[in-house]
Amino acid sequence: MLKKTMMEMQFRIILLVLFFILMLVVLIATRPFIDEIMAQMNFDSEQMKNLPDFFKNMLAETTQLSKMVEDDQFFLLSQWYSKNFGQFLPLFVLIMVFPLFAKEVDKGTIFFLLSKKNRPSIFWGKVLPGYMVVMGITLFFVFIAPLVMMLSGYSVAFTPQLLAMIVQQLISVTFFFALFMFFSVVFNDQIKPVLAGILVCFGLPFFSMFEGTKWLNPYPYVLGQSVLTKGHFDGIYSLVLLILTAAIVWVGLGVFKKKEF
Amino acid sequence: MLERRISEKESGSIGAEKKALVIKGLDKVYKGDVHAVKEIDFDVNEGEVHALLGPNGAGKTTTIKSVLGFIHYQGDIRVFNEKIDDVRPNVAFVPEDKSFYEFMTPEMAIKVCTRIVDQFDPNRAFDFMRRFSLPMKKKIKGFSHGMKTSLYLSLCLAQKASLYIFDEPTWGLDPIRRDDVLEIIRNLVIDGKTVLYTSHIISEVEKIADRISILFDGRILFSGYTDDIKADFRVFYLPLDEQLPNHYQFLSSQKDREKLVILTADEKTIHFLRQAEQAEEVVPNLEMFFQTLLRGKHYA
Repeated sequence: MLKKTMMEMQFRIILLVLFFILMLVVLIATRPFIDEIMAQMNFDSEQMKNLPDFFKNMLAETTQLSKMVEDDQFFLLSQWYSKNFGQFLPLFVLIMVFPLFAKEVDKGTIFFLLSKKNRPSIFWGKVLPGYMVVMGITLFFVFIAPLVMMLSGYSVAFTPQLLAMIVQQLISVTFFFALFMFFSVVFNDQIKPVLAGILVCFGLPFFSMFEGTKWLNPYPYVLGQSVLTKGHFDGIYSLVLLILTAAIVWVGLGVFKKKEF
Repeated sequence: MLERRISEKESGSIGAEKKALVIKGLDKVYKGDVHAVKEIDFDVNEGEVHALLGPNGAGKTTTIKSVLGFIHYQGDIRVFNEKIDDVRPNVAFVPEDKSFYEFMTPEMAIKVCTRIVDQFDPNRAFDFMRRFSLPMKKKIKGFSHGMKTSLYLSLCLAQKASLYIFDEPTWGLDPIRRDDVLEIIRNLVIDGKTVLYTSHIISEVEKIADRISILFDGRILFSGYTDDIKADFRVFYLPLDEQLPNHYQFLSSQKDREKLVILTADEKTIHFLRQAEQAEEVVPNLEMFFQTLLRGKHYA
């Protein structure tokens, strides 16, 4: 089923890989210019002080911006893992995964599979290759960014901090894969899994608005903010996400085994 | 009594045949309290073409979906005396909706089936596709309905199964291709395979089916051998005011314009009706049998 899944995902794989490559090229190409822009910015000027708060937040803390100018490693962590690539990860997983089962049901091709294989075989035959593809692309881009920066002459290394961020993002991708795969199993058309996925992607940050529900927003974990601020891997959150992932996959399998077509 | 089933004993076959499919008490209620199939029993002997007939909504597709385990149901279904999941490689299926992966070409479809489908013979698939004149390098997305049906049939027939289930297998095919497909299906039985088959086109069923089961409103109205229909059944057209004794047995009776139409296989009834004045006796073909039976149920 790996080849079939690859063929089904072919267009999306090409599109998203090109998108990430473009994102990476732009990021590295603008690195020297960010240095210049930052050097020209006077954060203590009256003009800067008069800017609205939301705009200042967009610029991030000045100390971090200064650090980004001086430190290639920090630039990589904050701009690739915590911003561009990291922020797009849930959407990337959603785009790859939403049709996994829903398209088969929507297009009527599920009957071909159901008549040939038993349901657990179909489930794993779609989930495992899908996960391999998603994980393969994620692994490629989490490792290629530092390598390209190294080859471009920047001072970047695979530090424990970087590896911790990578592991957190891989766990995040696994969690989102399971969640969006579940939506794909539950719904019979391709619109509802996308809508549910978009709701999750854009709805989760709202949990940060209240102190008691902050932990429900996984974005600080996905973007490696704990690694950047505290300097260590978030083990408990990782464990919780992995347990949730296993539970979602188990329930997804149960739903697929019982579902009527 | 309007409903009658011909037992194997009555129709001359002593029930010694091995059963490819046995359905007992199959009952299916969909959400919204739609009672699609109502405790039906029927079986398919090994080495026969068994046609499942009925109007839209009669329960044919629900029955097939139950056999293949696509839906939950009440009752017991055995395929070669096993649960479907234990014999799935031995069962090939062409659904009513012949949707295949549209991004593929027939060549790619054969490669994928070779990997996914147990007991799949790629050379056989190539042969059928050539016979159906399918363009091997054209994407399925650009295929007509008939070409999609031909492709699905080719892939199904390339599976070395023992039971073939076809849901409207000639849908979208031109008459020549339809005859080719009927011949192929007939040849499956000659090769010792079993076929369960649904169709709206009664004339094609008459050509290839050994046995039929007629479903209406979720119930089986009739199950028996096609050859027995002409041998045993008679249709009588009688004046509307004809008085019929209560103890005579009909499979169906209906008022058709100025006539009373009676379908029966009961010898005493046939003898009685032959004596009636202005009675017109007709040996029914399958089309007439089907129409009379179903219309009788509608207006009886």
